Amino acid sequence: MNYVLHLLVYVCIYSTATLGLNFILGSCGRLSLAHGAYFAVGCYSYALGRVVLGLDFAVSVGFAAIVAAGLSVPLAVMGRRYRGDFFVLMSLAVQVLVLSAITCWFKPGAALGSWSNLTNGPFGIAGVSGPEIAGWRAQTPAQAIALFLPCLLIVGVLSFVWLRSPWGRTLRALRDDELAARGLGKPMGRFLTQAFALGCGFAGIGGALYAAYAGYIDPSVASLDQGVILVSMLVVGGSGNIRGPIVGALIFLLLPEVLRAVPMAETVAASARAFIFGILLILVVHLRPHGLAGVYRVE
Amino acid sequence: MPQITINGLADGLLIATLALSFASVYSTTGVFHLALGALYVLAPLVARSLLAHQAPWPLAIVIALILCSMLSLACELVNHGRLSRRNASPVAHLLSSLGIYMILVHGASMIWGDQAQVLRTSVDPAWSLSSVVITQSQVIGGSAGLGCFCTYCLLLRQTRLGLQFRAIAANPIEAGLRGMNVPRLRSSAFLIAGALAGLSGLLSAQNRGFRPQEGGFLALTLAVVAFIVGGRRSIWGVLLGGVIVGLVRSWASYLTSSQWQDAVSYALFVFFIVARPRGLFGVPQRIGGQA
Repeated sequence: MNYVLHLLVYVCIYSTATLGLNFILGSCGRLSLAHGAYFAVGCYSYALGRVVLGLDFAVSVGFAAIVAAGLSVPLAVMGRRYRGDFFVLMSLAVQVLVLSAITCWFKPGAALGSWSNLTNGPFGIAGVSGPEIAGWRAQTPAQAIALFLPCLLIVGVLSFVWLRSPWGRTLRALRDDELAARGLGKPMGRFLTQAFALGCGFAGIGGALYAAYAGYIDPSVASLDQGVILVSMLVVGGSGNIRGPIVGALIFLLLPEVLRAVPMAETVAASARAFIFGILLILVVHLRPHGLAGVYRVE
Repeated sequence: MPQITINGLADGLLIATLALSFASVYSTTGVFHLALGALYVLAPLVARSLLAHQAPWPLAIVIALILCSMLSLACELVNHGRLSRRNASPVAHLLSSLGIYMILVHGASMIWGDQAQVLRTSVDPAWSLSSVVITQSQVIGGSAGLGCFCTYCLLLRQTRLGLQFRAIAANPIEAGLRGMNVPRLRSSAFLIAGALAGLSGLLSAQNRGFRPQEGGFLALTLAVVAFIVGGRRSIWGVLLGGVIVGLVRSWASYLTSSQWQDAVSYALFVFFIVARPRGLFGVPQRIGGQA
């Protein structure tokens, strides 16, 4: 039972991040592999906020969201100029640069969080304080869910409201026919920058929740696999509405549990999961381009 | 100093070979063939198991390369051909190719495990010329890479197949109307790309060893960087792009640390895309306009 709750905590964390990616892929039509990097930026901002600055849980989560949203500006500038393959490559460049920065911003002997050792490099940051609010500290997975589910709800409701608002409608118009929308006087740059900031900010919130729950982070949270998994979740679940991202996170976190029925080593099981995700991705692109529960067709 | 340049040159020629493989598909069909990264790691794995079963090495290499070609052809027949007939966007091609990449790489690591492996069985013989040391696998890799470039260039310039490749690259619909078998031409482009990717994987495994889950994606994206730096139009641009990326990586790891290699390569990519999107040998054209 505890294990199921543990999985549900991860569903909350990853749903938050995929709801963010939904703004970038579902609303702007740009496929970003850098979302894992913004997730990691959220992790590190939260950890540094808690460990070094001594901030509150809620304040640290907000801090993580703001840092990630602020760092989304370069990606948005690229998104204004490129779509398709070139934007994917650009997002990959952002991903690699963030990963390198996290791995290399490190100097032996210097204090964690100082200018010469911001991230503690390959050793990661241990002992990140967990989720707590008004002195009440969440210790079991059930208590973590009690704190994370409201976060997910807030993000979900905000996504729902914004995607339905005139603002969201303009984004869809820019996604489907950029020339026509610009001809009607909609400034693409401003809308795109706002959508990217929101998307990356939500990824930052997801990252902060992850860091709070796991208690230890290292540069592997910024790995390319993380970005690929987030993209696969969104594409398989579907994008363009708020159901799709949550369905995607549920599928990707709960489906591999079926594999537990088959006895195999942990490394083989990890490969088997990725193998199944690959099959899902191909099937979805061919048979259901709008994903299982989404509306935006990736084709 | 000359040693770093030589190492960078040898790595650069291998990157350029993979970039040529990517270019042979991307220039003719516009498909972002990410699964080539998987073939890059699959070829040494297959060759290594064959060698372990006492197969002679020329046979092992040929079988590995044929397998890579066939897998690449299967990607076209099962996936990209269907998507192209449906007029799918580049993003759909890329996502499904990512799916194939995951299947191949993780399938391979389920079969062969994920330990770091080496292809060669003995110490690499090396020759020293004054202050520079050149290893045998660097010489083999460099000359095989250059050989691929010359062969491909001859194919493109001198044969009917090359002319048809250039025709379907320019306008596949008109090429089809003039009686060319476009699906078959596309398939041959995928076949060639698969063999080249496998060869590049074998050569770099011979040089440095390999690990199934690492390297394939990164190697392919470096090849794409080389392709874009070179200018996306000319074969020799691809060669020069690969060499530049190899040299930049080698000098970056000498001047800073090896962890910055990838970051510097991508910084080079961003610089080119922003400042000179047509690359070194390209013609000015609008990029990335399509969805």
